[in-house]
Amino acid sequence: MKLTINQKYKLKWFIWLSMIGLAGGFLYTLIEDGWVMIPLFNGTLAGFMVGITIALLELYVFAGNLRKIAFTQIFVLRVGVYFILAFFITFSIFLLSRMIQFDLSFSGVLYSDEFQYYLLNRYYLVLIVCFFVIVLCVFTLQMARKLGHSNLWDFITGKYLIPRKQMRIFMFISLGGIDKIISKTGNLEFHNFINDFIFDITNSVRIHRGKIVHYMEDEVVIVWKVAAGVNQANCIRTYFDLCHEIAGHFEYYHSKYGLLPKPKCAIHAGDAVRAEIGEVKSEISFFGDAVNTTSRILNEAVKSGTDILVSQPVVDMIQIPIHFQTKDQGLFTLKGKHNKIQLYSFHLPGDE
Amino acid sequence: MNKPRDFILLIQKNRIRRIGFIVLSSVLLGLLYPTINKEFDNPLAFFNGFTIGFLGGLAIAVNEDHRHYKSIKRELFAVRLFKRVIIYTFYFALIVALVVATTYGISSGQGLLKYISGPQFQQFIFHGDYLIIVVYALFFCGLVSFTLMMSRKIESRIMFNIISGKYRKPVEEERIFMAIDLNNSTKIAEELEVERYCEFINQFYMDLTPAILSTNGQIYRYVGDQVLISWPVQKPGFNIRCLRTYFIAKNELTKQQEVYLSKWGYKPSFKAVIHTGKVVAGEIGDIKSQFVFHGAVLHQLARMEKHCNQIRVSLLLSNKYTSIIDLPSFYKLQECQQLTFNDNTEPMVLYTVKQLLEEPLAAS
Repeated sequence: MKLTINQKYKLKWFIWLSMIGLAGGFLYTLIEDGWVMIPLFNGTLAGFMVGITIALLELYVFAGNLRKIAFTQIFVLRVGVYFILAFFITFSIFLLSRMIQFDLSFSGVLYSDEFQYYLLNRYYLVLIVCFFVIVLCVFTLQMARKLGHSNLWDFITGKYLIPRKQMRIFMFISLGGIDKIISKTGNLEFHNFINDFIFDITNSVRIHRGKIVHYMEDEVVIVWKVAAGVNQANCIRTYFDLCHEIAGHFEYYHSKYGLLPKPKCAIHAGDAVRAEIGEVKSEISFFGDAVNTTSRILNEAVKSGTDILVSQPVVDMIQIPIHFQTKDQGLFTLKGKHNKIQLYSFHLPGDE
Repeated sequence: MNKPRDFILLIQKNRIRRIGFIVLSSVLLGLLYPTINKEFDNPLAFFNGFTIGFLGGLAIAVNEDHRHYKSIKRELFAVRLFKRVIIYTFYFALIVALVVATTYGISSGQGLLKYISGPQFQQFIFHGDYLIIVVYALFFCGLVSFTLMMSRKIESRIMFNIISGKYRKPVEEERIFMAIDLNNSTKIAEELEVERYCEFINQFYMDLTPAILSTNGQIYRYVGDQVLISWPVQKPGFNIRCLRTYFIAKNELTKQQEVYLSKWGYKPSFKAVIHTGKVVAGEIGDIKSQFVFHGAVLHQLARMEKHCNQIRVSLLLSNKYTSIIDLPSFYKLQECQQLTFNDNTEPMVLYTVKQLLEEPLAAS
């Protein structure tokens, strides 16, 4: 069975969170009760259930529209909800296991001396540990999301402390000059404008397996692993998808800012060196000829008013879908470069 | 206001805040432990919790503070975290044993040595709560070290702003910006391999870092061969710190020149421009969020930097910046060629600075 990217992404979440819950529950009971079968089983099961429930909520409830809520508010909300759930799950599992073990009724267990003693003297510790683990997990998750993609993980493992050479597909998107937009909107509204634009395009980028590297004034830099970008012409599709997305928000942009974002983009592929730069406020960024070239191609696109310019190496790699209309734009000499480069533009029929 | 003493006080304020934060959280956690254990009838337990938290927190805080202003060796994040946590936990374990032995020794009237050799203490260490307390301390040390190291990676103020949500809606504010540029970077980039160039640039940034930290500068962004640093506008006596950063960094880099020369074959030198003005500050992005400034200042800064090359000076201040500082007597302003813009705005008056004396105040 072949999973879509979205399904893979969700599956990964489920596995990760349930494993964390499972391991946490197991370890805690091991420390607290030692190697005794029943509590160990209960603890592990409780941890696993809590993990699964959190994963479910994380994917289906705390996604989408809640993204624009402030960090602290959503943090408190999440921790509160997860904690209450964890309370219910652990409580009912401990209760149920006693019902089965001693063959008692619900109220029989609830009012038995053993359970009362357990609740008053041991259970609060379980809750405290639960609370701390939830706080830690939610905080890390939110922070990781803020840093973007695998950045947090790469920082921790120090993957790019030594510069690494990687073949990547680069896409630069520009809104065609910051000055023009600012003169219409003013500084403060420009910020909101660009932020809305980024929120609108993020999903298209994610679905097509692109990764956002950074934002720079009115530019967004996106990168693909070659296989991911080439597959089904993902990198070119992203552009048409995000244009479509923005066209869907036409009314909103028009009424709020009085102008519609008109993204221009440049796509190029090549070797780049990826490195972690700076010791304070570290950034993992790309260096090298491919990055500069893409940026120059983008300049050409903005200058000539072409929506999308794709360089020869990318076009060679990609199997262009039949319904894309390719147009040869000829050879270009880019600023500061000696070699000429062949550029192509693309259209969707009926797009004019 | 431009006495060195005031300046030191400003820097100290941040240090005190940082130390206070760590000590406070440590004390609170020290008090939390007996609360969880419900030792309400035992005031000594709370006293011990407080003392252990205070002493342990203070030691961690002083150590962290000492490291803060230095450029740290590039090392794996995980390895560095592990090392720190082990050392701190070890220290906590020692303190716990000592404090418990002292207070119980005194309260039971046995004296320290007799108590340590007595069965009660043995019981506590090997069969009692000691192991749990150490695990508890391990968690605390892990949390503190991780937070501090992460906040250094992301820039502490940015992390704090993300958490507090202060810049979720854009805010207009007055800030001072400084751009530090590596000279001849194009030539170096062409002649070195890309990987080697990355290392060179990185070393350059790392050598600038202590200077920037020592004046509480906020690193905004690394763009190619350029670092953008910003400060909030404060009293004229404090605003001078941006200028000082330049001189501290220059001294530091001059000292390191031989290292660069032997390793890469180039001496690093840089130029800096300082300007001030209104910017819009805020957070953008969804799955990758970034803290950004927008404003004309940043464009003017880029123009000033080009101007720097044309008139061959290594430091340029805009008249807007010079109007908000109190210049100490050992700096002297010299007017430079004005910068004219394409659109019909007024030309910008620019200055460069000569340092008449050696830096009288070492970086803290």
